[in-house]
This record gives sequence, structure tokens and C-alpha cells, in this order.
Amino acid sequence: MSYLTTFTKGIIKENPVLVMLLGMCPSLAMTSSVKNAVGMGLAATFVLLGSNVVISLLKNVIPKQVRLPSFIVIIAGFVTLIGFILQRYLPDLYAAMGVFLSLIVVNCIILARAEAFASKNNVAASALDALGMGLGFTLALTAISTVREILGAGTWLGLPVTKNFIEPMAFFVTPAGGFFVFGILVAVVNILTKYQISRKKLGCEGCKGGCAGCGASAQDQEKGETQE
Amino acid sequence: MKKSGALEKIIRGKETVRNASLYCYVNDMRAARDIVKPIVVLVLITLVVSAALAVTYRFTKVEDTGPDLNEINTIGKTVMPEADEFEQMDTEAEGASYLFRAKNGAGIMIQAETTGYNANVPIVFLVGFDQNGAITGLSVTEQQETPGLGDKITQAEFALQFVGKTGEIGFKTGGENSVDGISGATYSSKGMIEGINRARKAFEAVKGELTQ
Repeated sequence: MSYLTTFTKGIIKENPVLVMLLGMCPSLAMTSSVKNAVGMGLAATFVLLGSNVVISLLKNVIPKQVRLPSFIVIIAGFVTLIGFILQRYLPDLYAAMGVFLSLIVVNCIILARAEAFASKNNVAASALDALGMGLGFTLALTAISTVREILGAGTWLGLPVTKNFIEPMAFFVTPAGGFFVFGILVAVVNILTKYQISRKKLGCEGCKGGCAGCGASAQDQEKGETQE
Repeated sequence: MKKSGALEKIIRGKETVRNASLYCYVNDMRAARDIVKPIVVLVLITLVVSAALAVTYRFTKVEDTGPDLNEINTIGKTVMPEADEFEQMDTEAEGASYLFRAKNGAGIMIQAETTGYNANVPIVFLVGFDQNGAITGLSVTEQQETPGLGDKITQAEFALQFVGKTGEIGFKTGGENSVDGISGATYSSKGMIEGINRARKAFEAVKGELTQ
């Protein structure tokens, strides 16, 4: 797998939020405004990059019995770090993110990338994977929050858009509206990516580590069938 | 020395064990390695992460620059409705963290700390006294008391009991200067009363500056 696909797969094809449905809690809670969503996306990307690089460096040192606690300690370290930095330099964002900042620790995207990718690949690939996944996460959050903020508050990034001539539908800012927008976006991405997957049939070709076993066995089965 | 080197190779699994008496020893050593190594690695990772965080904390720690006057003025509207605007006073008084004087001379508002049930996190509150020493209002700005019990000290129902009191406040003592506590939150209630009584002493000490 080339470095380019390592980077780009996180944006649409294996988008952590819209395709893999990971990290739904911040995706719904932090997307009522674009500003919060971008802040959350960037904070998670920072943590993802840091943890992926460190875990990739330590992959031969960490014994497999304690790999999950080790990953969580490293991830929690980076989350606390960005918490300190935000509190110092961006107190408004820090206050808005509240508990969801600390909850990045248990964001499944980050642990999933550590376990499935960083602990099996070199540093450069892990860093690119983190950037791609982080960008995909940020873009997904921005997309959800754009719809919610424009429809729900009539603004985008706090700037008035349709506020002055269309009464904002407050429903879209509520949690229920979040699920609504999220569901529609997942459907749209599914339609967009459906053709690619059906054309290749074996969608797992890309991920050497996680799905290698299943891909190989599926290929074997296919061969077996044709021989018969 | 030579012997222990050979043993090390066997334990690491690079050479097979031929000697039967050595077999049990090698097995034990392998088990010990499998138990000890994960513990050591995890402890080391935790130590390194903690050290990195300690350093970052030092560099990013927010300096306490004192109270935000805009915020004080906003809260002041409920604590002392008759005041127009507040200015911080230079004087210090025991029992008060910060003192604020109403520019129109309506009274003095005191920011103070007290201890409730949660002894780790102090309760921070603002209390106002008018020229005659009567309490004009009370607002709890920071607290982490038990939700549903002690955190009722932030509610108007509790705060309004203090308004108009001119002397040292007693806890359910009956009479003019007595207030009722919150059911199930005796520590929080008593803490507030003690804090307000200390604030009153601070007010008595500095009230001379009100008229200047």
C-alpha cells in the first residue's frame, strides 16, 4: 500500500465517522456549531498523530499482554497535554469542549488506529494514517456541523447566512437533529462509496493488517470454487 | 561467565534444552520474564508520560490574574442591585479574597472562600453589604458540592434567607439572625454561614473606606 493511499483512505473510503461509525459520541455532541466541531476535530487529530507516532516507535518494546493499557496511558497523556494547552491559549474552546475533551481518551477512533495500524506499521506510515484519519474525522464533523448550524441557527462559523430571511429551525441544534443529519450523511456517503466497493468486491484489500486474514481466506475460497 | 551466557541463550529460546535437569529451571525463568517484563514496561511508560505532563503543566499553568471586573459587575447586579459599578479595593482583610466597592457608595461586595462538604474544592462566593452592614445579596460562583443536596447553596431560595441580616448569622438558632440549612446538606450550609460571618468581619474592618 502506497503512502498516498495510507493518507487518503481515511478521508472518504474508510472515513472513521461516516463509514466505520467510530467516535459517534463527539460526532453528535460537538457538531451543533462549526467552531466546536473544527476544534474537536483538530484536537483529536493532534492526539491521534501523537499517539500513532509514539506507539509505532514503541511497537517492539511493548509486550502484547499490556499493549492496551500502554496505548491508553499514551493516549491519555496526549489528551491531558492538549487539555493544558487549550486551557492556556484557547480558554473559550476549552470551556465549550468541556467533558468531551477528556473523552477523547476513550474515542474509539484513536484506540482503533493504535491497535489496527500504528502497532503494526512504521512511523511514517502511522503518521500519515493519523493525519488522514484525523482529517477525515475533522471533515465529517465539519460537514455535520455545517448542516446543523446553517439550518439550526442560520449561521456558519458564527457569521449570519440565512438567519435574516429564514427562521432558523432550532430542531437541528438539538441532539435529535444531530442524529437526523448524521444518518442522512452516512446514507449519502454509502451511496457514493457503494460502487467502488462492489466493483472491487474485496474491500479489505487496502488494510494489510486488520483484514489480511479474512481477505486471504476469501481469495482462497474463490480459487477453490473456480477449480471445482 | 561462559556458562551464564549459554543459559541466557537457552532462556531466550535461541537454543534447545537437552539437559533434563535444566529444563524446569529454564521454564521457570521464561515464566518470570513473561511476568516481569510487561510490568516493567508499563511502569516505565507511565512514568515517562507523567513526567512529560508535569513539565507541560509547569509551562502552561494559567497565572491567577485576579478577578475579572466585567464578570464581577454582571454578578454584582444580583448581589447588590443598588450599586452602579464596582471597583476593586487595594486593601486586604482577613476572611475576604477580594474586596469591591460600589462606585456610587451603595456598599461593599466581598469575594470569599469557604469549605463545605467537599473539602478538596473550596466554595467561592460573593456577598454584598450596604452602608448599614445589611446583606444585600449572595451569589455562589464556584462550588463542587454534592449535586442535588449541597449544590442547592447556589439557589435563590437559600441565598434570599441572608438578605437584610445585619448581625452574626446563626445556624437554626432561632431569632432574627437565624437561617435554615438545606436538608441533607448540613456541612454545606454551615460552611456558607461561617464564610459569610467571616466576610462580615472583613466588611467591618474596611467599611470606613466606603465613604471616602
